[in-house]
Formats: sequence, C-alpha cells, structure tokens
Amino acid sequence: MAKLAVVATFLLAAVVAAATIPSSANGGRLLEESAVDVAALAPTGLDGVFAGGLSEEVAAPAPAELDREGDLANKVPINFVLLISRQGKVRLTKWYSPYTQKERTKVIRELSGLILTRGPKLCNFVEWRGYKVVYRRYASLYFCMCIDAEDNELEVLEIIHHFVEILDRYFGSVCELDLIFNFHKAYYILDEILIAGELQESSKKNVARLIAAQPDDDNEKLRPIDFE
Amino acid sequence: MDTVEKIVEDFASDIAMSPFSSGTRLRDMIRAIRACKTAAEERAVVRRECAEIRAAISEGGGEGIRHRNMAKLMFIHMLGYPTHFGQMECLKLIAAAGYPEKRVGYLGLMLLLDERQEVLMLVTNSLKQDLNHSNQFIVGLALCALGNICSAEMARDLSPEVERLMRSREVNTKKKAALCSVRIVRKVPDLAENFMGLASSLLKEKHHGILISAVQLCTELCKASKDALEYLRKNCIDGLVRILRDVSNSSYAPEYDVAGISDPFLHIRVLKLMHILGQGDADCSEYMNDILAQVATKTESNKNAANAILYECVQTIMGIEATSGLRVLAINILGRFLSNRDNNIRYVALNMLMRAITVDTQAVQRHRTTILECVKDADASIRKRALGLVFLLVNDTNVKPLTKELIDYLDLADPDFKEDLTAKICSIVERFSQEKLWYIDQMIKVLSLAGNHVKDDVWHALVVVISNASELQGYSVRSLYRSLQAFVDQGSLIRVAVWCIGEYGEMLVNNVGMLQLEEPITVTESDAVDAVQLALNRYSTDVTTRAMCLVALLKLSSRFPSTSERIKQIVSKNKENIVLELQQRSIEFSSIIQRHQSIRPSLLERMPALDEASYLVKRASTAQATLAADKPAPTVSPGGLKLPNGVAKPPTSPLADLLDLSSDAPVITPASTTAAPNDFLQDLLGIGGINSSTAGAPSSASTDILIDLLSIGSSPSQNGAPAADLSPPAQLGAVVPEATDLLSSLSSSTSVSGTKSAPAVQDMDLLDGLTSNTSVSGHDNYLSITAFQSATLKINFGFKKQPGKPQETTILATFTNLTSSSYTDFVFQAAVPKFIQLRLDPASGNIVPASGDGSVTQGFNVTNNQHGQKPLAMRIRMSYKVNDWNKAKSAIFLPGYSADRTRSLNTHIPKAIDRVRRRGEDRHIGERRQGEERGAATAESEERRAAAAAATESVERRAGRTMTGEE
Repeated sequence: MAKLAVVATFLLAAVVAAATIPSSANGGRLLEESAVDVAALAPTGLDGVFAGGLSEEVAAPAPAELDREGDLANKVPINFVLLISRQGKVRLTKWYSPYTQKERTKVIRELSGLILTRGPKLCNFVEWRGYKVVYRRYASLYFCMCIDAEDNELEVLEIIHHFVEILDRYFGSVCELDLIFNFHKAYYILDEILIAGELQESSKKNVARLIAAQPDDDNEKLRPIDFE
Repeated sequence: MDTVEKIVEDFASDIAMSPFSSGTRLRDMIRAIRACKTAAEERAVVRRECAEIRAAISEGGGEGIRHRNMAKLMFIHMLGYPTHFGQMECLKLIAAAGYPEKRVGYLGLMLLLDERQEVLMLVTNSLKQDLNHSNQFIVGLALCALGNICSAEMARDLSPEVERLMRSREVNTKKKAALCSVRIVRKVPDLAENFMGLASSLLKEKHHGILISAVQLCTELCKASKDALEYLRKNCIDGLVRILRDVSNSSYAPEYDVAGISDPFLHIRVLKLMHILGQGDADCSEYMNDILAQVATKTESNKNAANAILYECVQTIMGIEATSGLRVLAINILGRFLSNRDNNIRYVALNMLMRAITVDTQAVQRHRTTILECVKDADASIRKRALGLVFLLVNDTNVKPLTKELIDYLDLADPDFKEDLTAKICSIVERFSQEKLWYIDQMIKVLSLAGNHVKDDVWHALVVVISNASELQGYSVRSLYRSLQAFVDQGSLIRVAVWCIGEYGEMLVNNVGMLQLEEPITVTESDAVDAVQLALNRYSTDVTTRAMCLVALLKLSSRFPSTSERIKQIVSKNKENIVLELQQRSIEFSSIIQRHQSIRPSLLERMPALDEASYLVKRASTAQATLAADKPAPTVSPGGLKLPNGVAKPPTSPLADLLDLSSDAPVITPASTTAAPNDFLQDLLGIGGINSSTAGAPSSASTDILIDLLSIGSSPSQNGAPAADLSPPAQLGAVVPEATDLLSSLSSSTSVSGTKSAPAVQDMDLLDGLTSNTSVSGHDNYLSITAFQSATLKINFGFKKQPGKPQETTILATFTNLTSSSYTDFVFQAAVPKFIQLRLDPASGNIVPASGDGSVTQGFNVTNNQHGQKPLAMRIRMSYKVNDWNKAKSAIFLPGYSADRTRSLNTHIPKAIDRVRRRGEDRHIGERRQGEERGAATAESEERRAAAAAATESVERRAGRTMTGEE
C-alpha cells in the first residue's frame, strides 16, 4: 500500500517477478502481440503469469447503501468498468450507474479483495451482490466489468479484449505505465467504445480512426503526453 | 526495451521543465506520487498539489493551466482523495471555446460528478450549446457525456436535440445520439415513443456501429414501453433477421473479424433483441426459427467469441416460443458446453441449465453426473452454480445417490464452501427423507463431517426427530456415540450426542433396541460419562455445549446410580465457574444429586417426545421472520382474544414474554414451545384462578410437558422407559416435608426467590399500608403512583380500596405518551401471581395521543387472596404501534418499588447468588430465573419446574424468544 512500486510481470513469463523497484521499472506489456486471438489469451495459455492465490468467494450481504432503488427498473448492461493493478491500485474507473463516492470506494475495495485473490485457471466471473463481475487479467492489470446476473458473460470478455486490443494498437504494445501516465487517453478510448454502458463500436479500426481524427494539442510522437 | 526509452523520455522532459512555470506538469506529479515510499509521503505530495490547484482556482486566472489542473485532479481522484472543489472547474472548462479544454472538462464531469449532484444541472446549457455545435467532435463529446451521466431532468430538456442528431449525416454522431437516447429512455420511459420510428429506420443502415447502437436502442425501447414493443414487433423483425443473416453469412471482413467470426457483438445484440421481441409472441418466434437454427448449427464453438454467440442464441431459443426441435438443439449445445474444459464455458452452461430446468427438466437430468462433478470443481463460482443446480435436480428417485455423493464430498470440500454445501445437504435430506432411519443416518454423517457449519435449527430438528422415533433412539445414541469417538471437534455433533447420551444413556449401555444391520458395541456406564466429561472439558468456551453436558451428566447420575458420586464431583467443579449460567446449574444440580435423591429419578425422567408439528411450525415462522425481518410483526388486535379473566391474550410469544422476567431466561420458553404453550403458561401463572389445573394434578392435556413432569408418578406414556424412571407414588409423601419447608422459608422472605420477590417482600406492602393510612375516607380518592416511566411512555396507577374489603383494590391506569408521534393499537396487559385475581375493564381507547396531549385510561380490579401476607405483584406489558411499527414494553410492578429499580432486576441476580451461597446452598433449586413469585406454587413444584426447565434445555435455543419489538 505504502510503496508505489511497479510489479514487472511479463506476459507468458514463467516467473512473476514481484520486484518492488520504484518507478524506474517498466510495465509488462499487456498484450504480447496485438493480433493474438482471444482463445490464445484464455487463462489456460497464461499459466505462468498468474500468481497463485486463494480462491474464495465472499458472499457479502448487500448493505442498504449499495442497493440502489429504482435502478432495477432500468438495468444498465455494463454498470461500471474498473482497471485494478495487482497491488489493488485503481487505474481507471467508469461508472454507468449512479454510485456515490462512498459507494465507489466500497465497491473498489470489495472487488479487489474478491478478484485479486482468485487463483489461476478459475473462471473469469465472480458473483457479487446479485451482479456478476467479469474480469480478465492482462499482465499486471485486471480489467473488470460489472454486468447483470442474466447478461452474457462471454460477450463481456470479448468487450474487454476489444478494449485492450484498441489500447494496444493506440499505445503500441501497451503496458500498465502507459495507462498510468496517459490515463486520460485510456478514458477517451473507452468513451469511443462504450456509452451509457452500451457498446458503441465493434470495429477496432473505426475507434482508432476516430481517436486519431480528434484534434489534440499534444502529439505524443513529438511531445510526450503533457498538459502545458 | 521500453525501460530505456522511458527513462530517456523522462529525462528529456525533466530538462524541458521550465523553472518559472507555476506548478508541476501532470507527468511530474504522477511521477512524484509514484516515487513516494510511504502513504504519508503520498498524502503530503497530494496535499501540496491540491493546495496549488485550489490557489489557482481561487485566483480565477490561469486560463492556460486549467485543463492541466483538471487532469491532475482526476488522477488524484482515482487515488481516492476528495476532489469536490474541482467540480466547478469542470463547468468552466466545458464552457471554454477550445476543444482540448472541453474534452478534459467533459472527462472531469463524468469522472468527478454523478447524476445525483446538483452541480450537474448547471451544465445543461453548455451541453445544449455543444449539441448544436458545428464541430462533430464537440457534438460527440457532449453526446458521450450526456449518455453517461444525464439525469431525468436533463434527459427531458435535451431529448429534442438528441432526436435531431440521430438524423445527422455523420455516422459518428448518429451512433452516439442513438446510444445517448438509450440513456434518455432509461431515465424517462415516457419519451420512448419519440424514438421508436427513428430507431427502426436506423436498422436499415449498413454501418455496424450504427446498427449496434440502433439495436440496443430498440432493446431499451421494448423494455421501456409496451407500445414500442408492439411497434417494433411489427416493423423491424424483418430487418433484424436480415441483419443477422447478412452478418452470419458474410465473408471474411478484417475490420469486424474476431477469431474468424464476423462481428460477434452485432450477432449477440441482434439475438438479444430477438429474445425480447419473440418472448410470448408466437408469430415473431416463428419468423425467427430458421435464422436461429442456422446460427446455432453453423457457429463453430471452439473460440470464446463463437461460444458467446451460441450462448446468446441458446438464451434466445429458451426465451421465445421456439419449436421443440430448436429447444433440443439448444439443450444439446449446453451439454456440449458442460463437457468443455474451459471453466468459463462450463460456468455459463450451468447458469443456463438452471434457467432451462423449468422448460425441460428431463433434458437437464441427463447431465446430472457432469453437474455433480462440477460441485467438486476447484473454482468457487462454478461450485456455487453447480450446487444450486443439483439442489434443483434432486427428486424422490435420485435423492439417495445424490446425497451420498454430496456427503462424500463434504469431507474434501474447502472450508469456505462447506457452509453452503452443508446447508444444501441438510435441506435436501430434510425435504426428501422418506424414512427416519435414513434421515438420522445422513444427519449424523453431516454432523460428523461438518458439525461446525450446521445451523442450529437443523440439529434441533434432528433432536426432535430422534425424540419421536422411539424405536430408533437406541440406534441413534449408539451411532452418535461412535461418531463422537471419531470426530471430536464438531460442535453440533457434540451437542446432539451429549443430549442423546443424557436422555437415552441406558440404551447406549444395554444395546436396547438393536437394529438388524447394527453391530453391537460395548459401552460401560463410565464410558458414557467419560464421553460427556470429555465434551465438557473440551468445550470450555461454548456455554451452550457445556450447559448441555451438565444436564446430560445430571440425567446420567440418575440413569447410572453407580456413577453418581463421580458425576457429583464433575458437576461440582463448575460451581466456581465464572459464567453465571454454568455456575448456577452446577450448584443446583449438585444439590439435586446430593440432597434430593428421593425425587431425583422422577425429576430426571426422560423428556417426553417433543412435538414435531409445533416445532415445524415454529421453525417455519422463525424462518419467515428472518426473511421478513424488516416487516412489522403482525398486529395484535386489541381485545381480539379475551380470556375470561380479562387478560387479553395475544399470540403465544408475547405471552411467553409476559411470563419470563429476565431477558436471559430461555428456560421457560422452550417448554412453552415444545408443549402446548398456552396451557402451560396459564397453568404457571394460574391467572385469575380460572384454569382449574393446579400444580401436581394430572392434566388432560397430555402434551403439556410441565404438567406431566409436575405430576408425580404419572410418567409420560413413553415407550421403553425403564422401571427406575418410574417414581413410586410413595415418594410423594417423602417430598412433602421438604416442600413445606421451602414454602415456609418463602413466606419468611429468605429463599432465593429473593432474586425477584424478596425485595418486594422486604419492601413495605404499599397497598396494605394504604388501607391503614388513608383509612377508607375518600371513596373516590385515588392514590396515584407512577407505575412505569420511560422516555416514551408513562403509566400512572391510581389506587382505591373498597371499604370492608381490604383485599380488593381498584386501580385506574393512566397512560401518557411522551413522544411526538401518537401510539395506535395500544393494548395494556397484566399478569399476576396465582394468589391474586385480576379483572380488567375495557380501556377508554386504543390510541394514545402524542406529547402527553391527553391519555388513555383503563381500570382494573385486583383481589389479593393472601392479603396481609403477600404484597401485590404484577407483570405489565404494553404493546402499541408507532408509525406502523410494533413496539412493546414490559415491566414488573411491585408497589413501593420504583420503576427503574424493577426494570433492572437482572442485575440483582449475582447478589441473589451470593445470598444463596451464604445460606448453604439449600432450598433454592427452584427459583432459577422465573423471578416472578407465584404464591400458590409450592416449593416442590418450583423444584420440579426447574428440573423440567433443565430437562428441556437442549432445545432451549430454538425457542428463540420472540421479543417482537421489545425495547
């Protein structure tokens, strides 16, 4: 918690080097090759990357504050998107259903406890407060999306992968550090993929084109990510 | 390597940093935060940055760095620090002219605010302007923000703009507007009709982004409005089928290709919409059959994307009015999923089968073995799903093999899962048990393997069943004894075993009631005592188990007279125990063993069979109560059930409340639930002397445990009770001297009944004093005292004596409400000891107005048959409703004893115990915690009552004194 260290985890590396080297360490690339298909990235192919952990499911009773009234009537396909690092640091959050700040913190804390402790080779779904959280680990980052219990979990896995591939294409073998220093870019990309918790664009090429077309005063090729 | 590049890059940007620029750049801040070694350092950095940003905000200047500050704030926000001070900056940025500023502003808006914040309303105007902007990207930003966080008001205000933008020529704007209207319809379903025409026209487009957005909009419209659903059923089913056919037949399109499948996202979304349109509509379903069959057969399921489509297709087939052939196809797909090696696929298969079970149980049953294997999976999510499914699959024919499998697995299951698994097994066993032997066997197995996870009501139920199955009691106690030897640390196994050994000890030793399949075991009397002693010593922390052990030992001392001396020693060890409950029990029990040998056998007779039916009712009602915990308890209709003596009789549990005074007195209540509660209570209280059954007289109500136990010699008609348990009538005589002895001690106010009644006796008898002081002068003069006062309710009693009838007192109770909300359905109840007769008059009303603004009065009449010897004592209870919430208060009323003192009676118990000790620990066995002095109850019956109470100990927890609304 105290140390903001980066864990260098290389995809497909047999050993997870949990090194606590301050910022000089590089982030592991999220995607080994941008064109890998999903099956190859399924957990079975990534044995080495997953650190052993306890699989446990905490069936916490939903406290009143998280039972949001009225929202049952208008279900949102994707309630929120979370990116959490293996250390439990939040890298991106996007809420499509109303959660107060307090609830958000609580949700993040609960889910990191639930997801980060799950062992390898387990399925990518966690049941949580009557919802389902679909998560997938890419190197040191967990991409989580919360959906309704009846929704199509397998498709959400595809959406996560879709997002990661677009990130990868944009940053050029994306790693956690890219998403830390350019978190706003990650948000812009997500906004091109999802609106109101619904999918907006199924073509990676289109998203890339749209992102590139938007007038941006900083061209990262020349002047890396800056607000001046 | 990335590292090198990054370091170089960082270095370059460090050099580039101007020393004159105010504040740090975003990148530097992130780096500074990441360099922090401790949380304190991080906080310091964040605090410094926040201070700078605040300063910049308050100066109002810094046009150039505003968006940078906003970006910093967003990062700080992600770390979990408060950033509310930046909210207004978002609005300023959005109002700015430049695209980069707007972009950051909208991002900040979506990140830092949510739809419930008032600030959001201020942005409506800017949004409106941006929606009308000529730049499509700015329009895009506004649509995105609106789609993600708009509130209902904003949705109403901006819906015309969004509608217009859906007709835009820009592809990008079109799809964003369509999704934005999804949110608008979600927030304001009334607007659905404005969008349905547009949505169906968008389905004719070619662009996949627009198609996906339009399909999603249609889905949302169907959910929001029935009209829209009908409209879309008529108008777009063709279009949907065409889209699905095109996309599934399309040749390789690199842009949309995922693992060899063209645009699985569009596939899935169209299938979802078809699901909704086809649900309950045979025509629509008919129309879709072909294309669904095509998708289900043509999609190859070796990639996740394909499986996602198949999964959605199965869902749709199950949801619509599909042909039976199509359904078979769907179930087969699920079967294939189930045998997949991928956990994700198996998970969704289980999930889907759970829903399919209502459609086609037989088809799901075919996969039973596979599902059972999934229960043993390493993955908690899969286990949970599979267990839920198995639970639904159990029926009368397969219950035995399934239970066996589950119980076998119980041993290996990991601890987290055990609880869930145990609960499900118990539930299955209880639901489907056809014979008691099987039930008892399975339950003992579960207790042995997961005794610590078994819920209390489950093992209580087992005890009830054993006590009713007379031919299996011997078998049960022997099995339990064997299990106890093998599994020493299973909490509820120990409890059940100890209870059974105590009750049926002689069956254990003598191999009574051997079943054919059973192997005889040799257990000596001292072995049985050993087992209980071991449990007693082992469970030093669990009071219930220890208390049950003590009861069992006491019972064994009577079953096996030879071990009596040893048991006495074991029991005596606990006399010093720090836990009051155990201390009290051991003192009382040693006394029974030591001094009351003559009555011991009859005291410690076997428990009569517990009433199964009433237990089931009780259990069901508690289960319901826990389910509907926040629902107000059923109302007691005032005056609905009136007893002849004027005590309103609410349902049994409040009556039980009336009786037991101390909050930790579960001793009485178990008996009241296992036996017929009302009889029992009436008898105990002897209210008004109406009830003819007096203590010691056999009652016709044979289910009444207490009466049975109280009546000497009338051994419960229980099977196989050994002769030793039958007490010869001759003993009756032997008891009497002691009884009278106790009685006299009672009247001289020295006995333990002092726990509650002694203070009353010591206090001046107010009423008696009254007669002498006021000497009957004023006929209508009520002498008034405050009988009860709390923060919410005050009760005054006015007393009046009839001339010439000193034992009769007329009391006028006045109830005053001290709170600001009025009490409705107010009911006053009173219970008195046997020597007093009570007659309640109707109350003046059942609504007590708020803030002391008027009051309710109720008169009643008491006759003290032992006037001059005993003071008036009364237990009162008030139940009422405040804003539809049930409340109840109860108190003991002893004249001359202030309300707060009566209320804190529990604290007197230790003192009473001391007194007991000083008095040589005799003659007090009876007065455990009944507290209420019941004059007519003889000491003998007191003694017996305590023993009866102790005997019912094992089921006491289940009684779960229902203190509904008790404050």
